[in-house]
Amino acid sequence: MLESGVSQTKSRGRSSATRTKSVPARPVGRKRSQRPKTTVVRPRALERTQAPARESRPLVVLIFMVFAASALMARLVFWQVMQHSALTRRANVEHAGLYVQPPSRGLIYDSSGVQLATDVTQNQVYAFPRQIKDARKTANLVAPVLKLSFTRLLDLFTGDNPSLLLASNVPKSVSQKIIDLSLPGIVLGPQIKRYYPQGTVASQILGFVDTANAGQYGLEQYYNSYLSGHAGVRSVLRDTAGNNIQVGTSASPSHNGGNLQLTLDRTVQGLVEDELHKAIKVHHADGGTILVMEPSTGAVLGMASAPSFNPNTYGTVRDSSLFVNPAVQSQYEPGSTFKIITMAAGLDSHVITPTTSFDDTGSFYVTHDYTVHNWNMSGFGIENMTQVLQHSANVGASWVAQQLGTDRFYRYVKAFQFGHPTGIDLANEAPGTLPLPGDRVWTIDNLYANSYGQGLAVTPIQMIRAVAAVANGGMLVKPHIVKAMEYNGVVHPIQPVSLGRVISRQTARTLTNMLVHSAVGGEAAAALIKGYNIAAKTGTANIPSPTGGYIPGATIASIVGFAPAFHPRFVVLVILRHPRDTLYGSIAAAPVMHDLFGELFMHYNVPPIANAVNK
Amino acid sequence: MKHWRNFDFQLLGIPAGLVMFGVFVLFAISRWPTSGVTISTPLHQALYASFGLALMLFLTNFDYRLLRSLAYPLFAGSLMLLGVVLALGHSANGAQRWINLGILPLQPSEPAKLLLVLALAKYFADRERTIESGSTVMLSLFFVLIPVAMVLAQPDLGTSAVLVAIWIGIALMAGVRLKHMAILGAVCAAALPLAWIGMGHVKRFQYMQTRLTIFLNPQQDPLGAGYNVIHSQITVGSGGFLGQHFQQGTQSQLGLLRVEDKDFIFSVIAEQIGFVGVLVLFAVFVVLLMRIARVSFMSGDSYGRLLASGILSMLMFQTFVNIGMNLGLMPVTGIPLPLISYGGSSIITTLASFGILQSILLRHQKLVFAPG
Repeated sequence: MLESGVSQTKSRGRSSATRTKSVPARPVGRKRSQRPKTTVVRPRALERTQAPARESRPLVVLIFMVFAASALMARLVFWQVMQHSALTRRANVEHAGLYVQPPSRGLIYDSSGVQLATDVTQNQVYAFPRQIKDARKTANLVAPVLKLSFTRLLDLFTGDNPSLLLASNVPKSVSQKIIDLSLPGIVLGPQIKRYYPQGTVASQILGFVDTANAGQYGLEQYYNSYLSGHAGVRSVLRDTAGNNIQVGTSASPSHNGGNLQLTLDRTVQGLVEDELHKAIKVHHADGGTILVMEPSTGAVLGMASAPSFNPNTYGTVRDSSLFVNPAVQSQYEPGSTFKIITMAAGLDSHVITPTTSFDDTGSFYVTHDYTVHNWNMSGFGIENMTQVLQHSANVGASWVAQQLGTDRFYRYVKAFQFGHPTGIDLANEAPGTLPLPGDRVWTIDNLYANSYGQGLAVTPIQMIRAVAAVANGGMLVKPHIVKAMEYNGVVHPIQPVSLGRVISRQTARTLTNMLVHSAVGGEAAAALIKGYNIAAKTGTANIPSPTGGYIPGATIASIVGFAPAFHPRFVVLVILRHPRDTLYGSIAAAPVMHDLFGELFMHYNVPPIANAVNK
Repeated sequence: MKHWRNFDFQLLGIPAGLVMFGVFVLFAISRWPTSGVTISTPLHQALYASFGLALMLFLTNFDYRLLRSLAYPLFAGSLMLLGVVLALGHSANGAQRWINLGILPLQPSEPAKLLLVLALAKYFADRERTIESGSTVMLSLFFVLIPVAMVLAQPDLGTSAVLVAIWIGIALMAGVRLKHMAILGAVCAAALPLAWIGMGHVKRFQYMQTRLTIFLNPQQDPLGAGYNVIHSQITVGSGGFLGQHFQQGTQSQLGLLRVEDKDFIFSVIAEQIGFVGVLVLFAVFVVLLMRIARVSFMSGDSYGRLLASGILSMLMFQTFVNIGMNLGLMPVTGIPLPLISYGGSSIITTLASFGILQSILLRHQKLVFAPG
């Protein structure tokens, strides 16, 4: 018994196969406990083999381990070796990209360096929830500053997103509060915004920059690519929020925009805008435009229209027509100011001289349904050409046109480049409307109507440029508003462009003389200043009605002139649209020119002369 | 009777090496600006590891047979701690798992794993002769079901699964009849649909359902629950054959992974060291598990053998499930990678278990035949 017990134990220890042979029945717990105890001290190591089924158990564990390890291996081979390039591509799509490095937009300043347009840095507020220590406290403090809800912030701060943009374009007061709070995980990031320090001043010249960083209207549009520069491209790594983490090598560097220095003088512009607003108020006009130009170069010194807008808040402007710059984009029938062109043509063609006289009966028969009348519906009798200008006689202008004939008249009108944009460096310039012989709409009526500035439309810039040619000794210039372009610290001055002679020097001088003398005691008398020779011509034009014909009782009152007449520094055009208290340029516009010239002489230190015609 | 010549230097060297590697990885992660892991993480981990090593040496010197008599009180203590966690625990990511003890935010479910090993080993070692009876098996279930219920309530699906794995490992090695285990398995399988429905109805457990659904289809919610599943794939995949080398693992560096210091540290490592590196890491883990299995075979008594088996199944399950989770083969359940993932309770518990293993080795008896 004792022997067999030992031998059984031994045989079981060797192999389970032997055991199953020697012990037929599968031992169960109960049976085993009934087994007689032996007195032999059995080694523990052998004792554990008493339940023989367990011997396969480590194998089960081993098989499980091998199986699990193989599964992991297979997956690893699949992902890291077979799918590596595909997954890397996905990773790159996710975190690498081309970062467009925004260039800084160029500045715009006036002729003396006063900033008109600049970039200012505003702030964006970001949150990095992982750096936030106390989400509840942080949300509580940040919520009122950014006017966001506490619960929404708390959700964001405790959420999974590692970086968040909380607010854009925050004002300085808010960013200062954020700085003062100095909460970990709440940071400010810079954001650049276009800013116009002078507010509404020159707004229609400047235009604005839209949210897509594109210049709209005016200089911002015309010089957009120059001002905006070129964005650089860099390869970058991005985090989950799309923020650039590591700015890599530059594929192409960014080029900042160039600066613009304008011919515009902030002081003159201020005077022009003040005078314009004053006149509009006094005469209850719908609006108006004033232009001040240097005749010899075509440099614009002041250019303003009303109503206008504030480019800093362009987004709040309801009426987008306010963005339009009427000085170059709107056209009007110039009226009697255009008689300067008619006279220039007559003088230059030698069909008239200043002393040429004719009998002004007050009407000029063109066709059976078109007779030209003077503005006062009466005749001036025998008058010379200077007096025609002085009286602003339509009959006289028509008579000159008749002397010239169609061909010569329009040759001069075309030489002054009416009907074509002047090429000024401002966006969306209008060409004017000039029906010519041969056009379907042109009849002989046009010739006589055109001679006193009706039946054709010009832009203010075309009109002032034509008069500048007279001031300029007959040379037509191209108007411009940019004096110099400054790029990378190098200044490129803009040279004035002369478009050649349109009338002889002699004609120009003679015409100037006529304008100076006709102004004295004439329609333009209110524009004159003692001690200065001022060449000026008023205009009172009917406003064409959209339904045909002209709007009764509505006029465009204007005056154009230059001074000092024989050494001209400024050519000025004043246009008031539909003044309510008077119809005439002589009453509404001439005093504006008077005030403006006075201020210009003071600002530019132009002294009076002793032998001025107007003593 | 101790025999220091039986000390297994591999069981000291490999865990120590892995811990140091883990600290190094955490340090590398902490240097990436967007990771959200600060320098304090690797420093804390090193501190916890020193605690762990000290406890390991203490337990090496401590006769594991004394643990047999302490097992039940210790186990009861761990249940109490789990109860405390439920009552006033510290929550993180929507789960109550921690008790704040000042320097170490204790996660009682971690020591609970090892203390379950101690208790179950004692239970089965005491019942060697009735191991094949159904009642022995049924009674053993209480050891595991009580902590599982408490951990599930936190809610922590991963640790509950580890506790179940420990029971399976010890029961298997203790010699529970396969028929019994099969019946239990069938009961569990039958209960699964009920559990699934239950999960959906209790708000606390809905996340488990989400994670299991997401495991089957991560694209269902690529920016939410499926985020890490997808990103661990991209991260591991972009590691390639040789890896991106340390400091250059772009996915992990850019904060594209979440919990990269804990559950998803394997993905970070895989991106850094690549396929070849991961093979080496795998080999190291397999050797370590083999050394633990060796302890089980060398052990002189049932208690030691079952202790080693329990520790083996605990660490093997955690290792495979964590890596499987990183490789998209397992649902995301919040199981740390032993010795490497950041976590004080986890690393101290794991190192302590190596102390117990050494203690078994030092005191194991050679196979001696009875005289005569």
